[in-house]
Amino acid sequence: MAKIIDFRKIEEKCNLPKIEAIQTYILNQAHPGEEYEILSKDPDTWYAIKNLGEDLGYEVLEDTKEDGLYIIKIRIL
Amino acid sequence: MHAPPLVEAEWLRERLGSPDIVVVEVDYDPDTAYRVGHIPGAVLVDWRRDLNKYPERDIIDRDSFEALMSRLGVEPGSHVILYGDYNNWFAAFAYWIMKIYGHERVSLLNGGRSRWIMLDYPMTREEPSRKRTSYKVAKVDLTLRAYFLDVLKRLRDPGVALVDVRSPEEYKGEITAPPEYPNEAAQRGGHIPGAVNIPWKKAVQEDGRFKPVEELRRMYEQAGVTPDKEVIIYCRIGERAAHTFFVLKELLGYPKVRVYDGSWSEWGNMIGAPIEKG
Repeated sequence: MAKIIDFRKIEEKCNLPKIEAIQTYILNQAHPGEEYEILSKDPDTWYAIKNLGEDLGYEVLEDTKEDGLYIIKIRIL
Repeated sequence: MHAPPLVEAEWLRERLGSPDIVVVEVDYDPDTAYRVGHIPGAVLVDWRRDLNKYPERDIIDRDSFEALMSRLGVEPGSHVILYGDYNNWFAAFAYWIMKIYGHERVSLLNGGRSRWIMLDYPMTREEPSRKRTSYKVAKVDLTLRAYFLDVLKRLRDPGVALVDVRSPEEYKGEITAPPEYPNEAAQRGGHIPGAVNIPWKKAVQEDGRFKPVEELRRMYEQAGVTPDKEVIIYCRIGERAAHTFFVLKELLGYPKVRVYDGSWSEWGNMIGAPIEKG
C-alpha cells in the first residue's frame, strides 16, 4: 500500500525547492520497492515530480489531477 | 507598438512562434523547472547566474544586461514575455530589471509556469537556438530602485509608504528567514520602522493569477498605500518585492514605486539600523 505524502501543508507555508522537498520528505527515508502517493495543489510541483523520476531514482506509476488536487504515485527503484 | 504589462496564457498560446515575441522563462531553480519542460520556444534566464552580479551583491550592470539580452536574441523593440517558477517572483524581478534598463515592450505571463501547466498547454524540453543580437540600452531609470540610505532618510516621512511584503512571521520578527531558506537569515528579526505588512500573496488568487484590479486597489488603499505617496517595497532579497512592484506600478498605475532590493537581508544585518518588532 502506498504511503501518502501531502505536500499541500508544506506548500502552504513555504517554497521549498522541489528536489530538496522530494529528497527531504520522501527519498531520505524510502526503500527500494516502496510506493508513495504525493498530493500537491501546485501544478508546477506535480509536473516536476512527474518528470524527475529518472534523475532521482523512482518510477511514476500514475498521475492524476482533479479539482485542484494533483496526485502522483511513484515506486522507489 | 504598445505591449500590455500583463498577458494571459490563452493570449500567449495563440501567438507562440510569432517572430516579434521572445518568451523568457526566469527560474530560481531551473533544474526542476525549465530543464524538465518549458513553453515551446522559451529561452532560459537563471535568476542567480544571469540577473545578479558577482562577486559583489548587486543586480547586473548595464553591460551585463546588454550581453544577456543579446545572448537571448532580444532586440530593443522585441516584445518580451516573462514567466517562471515560484509564483513568478523571479520573472517579476526580471521585469523590474528590464524596466530599469529601459526595455519598453515587456509583459508578465499571468500565473506563470503553474497556470500554463494547469491548462495543459504544450511543454517541451527542446532548447531553442535564437540568433544573437547586439542589444543596446537606450536609457537607465534608477528611480525604480531604492538603496539603504534612501530608506533610512525617509523613515516616518508621511509622503512615503513603506511596504513589507514578507510573511507576518518575518515581519513580526518571529523568524529571520522562511524555514526553507535558513542560509538567508539576518542577524536581527523585525521590520523597518513604519512599514506596513502586506504579504505579496495577498495580491494573487488561488491559481496564481493576480486579483482583479479594483480589489487590489481597495486592499492597498485601506492599508494606507495610496498613489499620492512614494512607495518603497522590500522583502528579504528583493524578488517578492518585485512582484508587488509589478502590482502597484503596472496594474494599479502608481506613479512612484521603488524596490529596495537590499531588503531585510541588508537592513537586518546593518549595524545601527533601527528596527521595530511585533
